[in-house]
Amino acid sequence: MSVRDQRDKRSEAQGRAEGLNIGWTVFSYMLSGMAAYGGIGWLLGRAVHVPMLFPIGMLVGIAISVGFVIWRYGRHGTTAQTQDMETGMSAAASRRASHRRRTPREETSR
Amino acid sequence: MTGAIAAPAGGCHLGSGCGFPAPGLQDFNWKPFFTIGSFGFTKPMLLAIISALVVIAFFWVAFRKPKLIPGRTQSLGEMAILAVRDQILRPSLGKKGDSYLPLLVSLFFFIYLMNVMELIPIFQFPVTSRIGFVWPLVFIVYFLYLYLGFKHQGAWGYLKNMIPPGVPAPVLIILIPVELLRFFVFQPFTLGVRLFGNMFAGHLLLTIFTIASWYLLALSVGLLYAAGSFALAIFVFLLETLVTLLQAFIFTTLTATYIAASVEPAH
Repeated sequence: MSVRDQRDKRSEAQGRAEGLNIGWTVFSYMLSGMAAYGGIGWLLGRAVHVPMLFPIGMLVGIAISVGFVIWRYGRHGTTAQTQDMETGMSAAASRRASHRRRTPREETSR
Repeated sequence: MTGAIAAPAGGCHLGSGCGFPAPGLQDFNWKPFFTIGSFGFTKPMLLAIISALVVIAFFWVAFRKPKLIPGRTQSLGEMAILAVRDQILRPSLGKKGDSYLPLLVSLFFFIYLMNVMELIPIFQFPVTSRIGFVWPLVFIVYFLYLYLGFKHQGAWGYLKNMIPPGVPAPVLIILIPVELLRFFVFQPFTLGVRLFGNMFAGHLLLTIFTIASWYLLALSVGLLYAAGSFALAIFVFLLETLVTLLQAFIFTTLTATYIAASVEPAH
């Protein structure tokens, strides 16, 4: 196996691990946003005798999580998507190609 | 599929009036082989012990007397270790994470064997479909990455690095409860529940289609349905061969990424 093939395989595995991690982090954000603000809403609701604060808190939590996920991961996703649409390649292939396109001089100047 | 439902299904066919013996939660509860006081030794426990022994025995045999020109077992063992290193460890932790290789190799093969018990005749039960077998593994990973995080980054540094960079101060106040709950509760929770849920659902599907094939088997139009159900059982079986491997892979990959985040601050 050539060095380039090995590098490609490594970057593919890296992309897979990153993708898995991001996917489950996003899912955890959704659950924790709902639970955190649902819990705060429930406590407030008990204190002021307004039970509606519990579902309102959950909705607020989901909204915060969705907003944060878009802010944190959405921009990166959009960039990658645009790049893929331009090149017509899959995300992994596009990453590999952009890696190859860089000359050693470019690498050192970075 | 399991002993508990094979018996009622044995005498039950379409039109015999006894109804479809639908599988359910009862098929995940096993009568103990023996009891010591209030402790009952059940089939999943036996399968978990067998899985652990197989992993230990295989790697012991493979590397008992390592040779420069490896034999068949040693080659297989090396291939297994290199697969975990190159596909799971190195992408997340890099070369300096090689000290975690024994943990990740053991974790991967132990989980894989517990999962694959579902597909082996006689055993036919995925140990990880009982969540009690998953939580200890999750706790090992959880306490390990917490310990490593506090050790490498310090208590304050570790907590500080949980917060994503570049978040404005007012948003930070809103985010803190979400971030803390995600990190300390939902990250380990999803790690365990995903493995358990996939294996639980897979076993249930396999049981449903196998029982249905037997139940519908009659010299009538039922034969057609039985054939359809049997084809689905085969399909689910093939799917499960992939799922068992994939779930072990995901659990170990996420373990590696969590360790990486503890050893080094988020990029």
